[in-house]
Amino acid sequence: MERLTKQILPMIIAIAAAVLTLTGYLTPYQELTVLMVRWAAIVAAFALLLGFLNVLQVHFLRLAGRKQGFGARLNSLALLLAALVSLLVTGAGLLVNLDLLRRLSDWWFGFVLLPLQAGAAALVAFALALAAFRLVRGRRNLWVLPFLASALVVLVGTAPMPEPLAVPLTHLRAWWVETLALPGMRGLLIGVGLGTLVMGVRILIGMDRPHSDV
Amino acid sequence: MISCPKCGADNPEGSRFCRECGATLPQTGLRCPMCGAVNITANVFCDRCGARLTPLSAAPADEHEEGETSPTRPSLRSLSLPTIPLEEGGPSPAAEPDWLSDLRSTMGEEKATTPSTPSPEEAEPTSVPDWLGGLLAPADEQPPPPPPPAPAAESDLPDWLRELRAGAPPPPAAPVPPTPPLEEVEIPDWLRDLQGTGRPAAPAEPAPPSGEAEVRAAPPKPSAPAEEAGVPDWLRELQETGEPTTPAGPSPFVFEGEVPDWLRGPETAAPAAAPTDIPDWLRQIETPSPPVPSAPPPAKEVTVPPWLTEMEAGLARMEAEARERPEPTPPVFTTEEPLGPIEPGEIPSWLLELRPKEEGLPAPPPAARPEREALAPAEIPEWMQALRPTPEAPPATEEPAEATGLLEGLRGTLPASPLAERIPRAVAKGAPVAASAASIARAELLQELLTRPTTPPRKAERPRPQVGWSLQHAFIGLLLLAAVILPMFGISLPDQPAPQAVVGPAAEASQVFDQIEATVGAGTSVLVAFEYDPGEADEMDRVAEPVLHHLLQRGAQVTIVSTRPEGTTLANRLLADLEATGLITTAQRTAQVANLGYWPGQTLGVRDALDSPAATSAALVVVLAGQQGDLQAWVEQMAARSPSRPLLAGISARSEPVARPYLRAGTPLRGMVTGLTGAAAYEARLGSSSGRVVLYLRSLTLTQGVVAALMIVGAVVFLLRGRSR
Repeated sequence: MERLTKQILPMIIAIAAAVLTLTGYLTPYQELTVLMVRWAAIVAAFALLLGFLNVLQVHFLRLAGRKQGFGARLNSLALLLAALVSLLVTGAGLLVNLDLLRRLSDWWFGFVLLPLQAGAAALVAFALALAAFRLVRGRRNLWVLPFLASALVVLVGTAPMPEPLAVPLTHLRAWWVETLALPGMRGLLIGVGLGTLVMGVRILIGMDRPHSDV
Repeated sequence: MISCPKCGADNPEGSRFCRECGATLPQTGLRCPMCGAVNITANVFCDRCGARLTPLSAAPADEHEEGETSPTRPSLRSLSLPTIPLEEGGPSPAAEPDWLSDLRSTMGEEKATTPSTPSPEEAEPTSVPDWLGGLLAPADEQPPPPPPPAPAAESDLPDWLRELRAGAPPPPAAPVPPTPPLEEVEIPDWLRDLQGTGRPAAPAEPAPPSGEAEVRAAPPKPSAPAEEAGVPDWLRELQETGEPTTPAGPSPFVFEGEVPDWLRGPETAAPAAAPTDIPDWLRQIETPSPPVPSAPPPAKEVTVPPWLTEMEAGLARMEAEARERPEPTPPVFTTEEPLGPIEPGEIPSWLLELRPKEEGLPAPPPAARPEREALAPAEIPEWMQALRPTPEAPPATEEPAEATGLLEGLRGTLPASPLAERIPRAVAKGAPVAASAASIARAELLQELLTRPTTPPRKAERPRPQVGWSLQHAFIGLLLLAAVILPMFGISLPDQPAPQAVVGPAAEASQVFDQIEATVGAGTSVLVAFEYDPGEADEMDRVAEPVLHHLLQRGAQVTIVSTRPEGTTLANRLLADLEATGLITTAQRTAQVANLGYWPGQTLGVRDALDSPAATSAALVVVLAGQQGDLQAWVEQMAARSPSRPLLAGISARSEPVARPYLRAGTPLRGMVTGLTGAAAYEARLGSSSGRVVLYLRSLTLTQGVVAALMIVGAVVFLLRGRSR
């Protein structure tokens, strides 16, 4: 029974949904495909809600349990408080058409959520700068030189330079990107596309079951 | 009264402590077998739980037929003969044998003819079996016993006693010969109590010719009224007649092998009586046989079942009746098959106490045991002899008592030491196999390992951060912070005009500008997708600002969608900023902008948004994507659904390498604004700016220069450092 509910039934649903969606692409009758896509959108919306609730549950258990340390529990507490406040503020602003609630929601978004995420992105820039500084320290071979040269060319070529250097650096950067980086990126995209195709076929024939836990 | 063993003071019955000195008094009462409470000796039932303290023996005097009591009547408290359980009121006709019915009827007739003037002594013996009366006879010399305890109920009487009482006066029989008094050793305790009645000893008379069961129960003939407590009426009448009994030969019913010889005693030569009232089934099994010799051989010990005991009592009475009609040749009642020997456990204790110990009686020969063949000693090989443990056993230590648990208080239940340690060590008396050098080496190694002190595992020490490492972090952080902040205070590199390059972000931004100028007019529907999150808003807002300003400036009807939850909010903030800076008016925002909100499902949301009426009517689609995946989804969906419709993109600088292949592959993507550099070029083409893009670009330019310098410095330093090492 467990195998039926956790393995066989989800596999049947997934394969049936895939076949029905593909049928709309391969045949003139696309109504079924549209219906399946709309269902998928509804399921995705519920998945987002479930994900939000799951985050709340996980951090609530971490906060209530004794296994985590003080820092982790404090982090969970902050997350729960922020989630609840965001939910209340934005939810109230959306449900009730009051200017005060709308301003409160905008303030919360612009002065809490946005700076936090911008700060996190800035930390990535700092980490990249540090890694660039220590590039040669960790790996000392010839392959470091192309990497170092690419970074320097893109950085210098993107920034506005004085007129004598602007045009040559811009052309150098364009050649570097389109001649050296673009083929590599295309190769990566083709590889990703092939992998997606194979993965879709495997799911379609039931070899892979990412939708079930057994 | 209880005499104190310490001071000698008399204490009332039932006292536990002396009222004079407080010493503990011996408990002399009867202990209840059920609850253990101590009751006074006069109690029949327990004061605490009501359980019977004395076994059932005789009918109480007050429930006797005559309803008279005798203060001197001896009580039988320690005897309870086995009986067949019968129904209340007598046996049922179906369960009663014929001969017993005949006997009952005969006795009833005789009872009717007997004068009904029983004395108290006449009523008492009915509760005592006649064979027991003989035992009571020698006890006449003893003083009278104390008054009997509470009378027993009628139902407590044994059935056979009840039947005897129902059959009341027995017929006159031959005088009972006196039985020699029993010795003290033969008399049980309860009989010794009976002897305490003080009845005078009766002269011994020869035993009457009765059945085997009456051998010892024959009461003495002459007796005082008080002495005849245990004698039935019919026997007393016989005693009063004083007629000498003449032995009429051997007993008509001799059960060979049924009665042990110690019970048979010297009365084995009793005369037999004519079995006139013998039932038919008994008469049928009678076989004419010669009289039983006076000195029978030692009989085997057999078990006497209760029914047979009861039948013997009835036969004894019939035998007494048959004395009047002597038979010349009484049949000998023999059993065809001898019964087996009596097991020791089958003989009741009271019967064992009655077992005579006279020397004259032949003792049963001990059972001969078959001799067993002795085991021959095993021959132990020498190598096993060497393994034999030495007699030096470890000294026995007292096992500790358990302090907790279910075994608390018990000692020795659990071994104090492992069993392996208790095995006595064998002394090597010449080991059978000599250890090899390799084995010795391994043993020494094992011994060394075992004796080596254990060291706790060392904790993995985290390497301390070096001073140079921390300085590097601080130096790089300060440089980046300065590169971001200094342009805000006017300290930056000199502004450079946007290059009129034909390649790169500036050229691509020009393509976007040209496409909008060519496609969008007043009232043109344009679908704008905000696909970035707040973390990318600092860069993407600067990219989206000139594009959205341009669209609204051209009079386009802008429809905003997003497959990110924060996208629509960011769009509203951006429109509010444009309105605040004066790039657009409030009327433009309200009249030209429609926000369709969030479209869940990522790629499915993109597809669904493209299928919406607002998108289908849009002449241009603009995607503001912070990550490469967002642009990829829109390009692929647009290529699948409407490849002819132009797609413009505003992307972050990091997405440029991924977006550029789509730009050159003939997809709907016709142009893109890449990062701050592209936004600055777009503003330059647009001719109006809020000034934010320039400010951000100054910081970006300075930061990029710092990072490039750090890379160069770092490479040089670490290369030189590594070479020096």
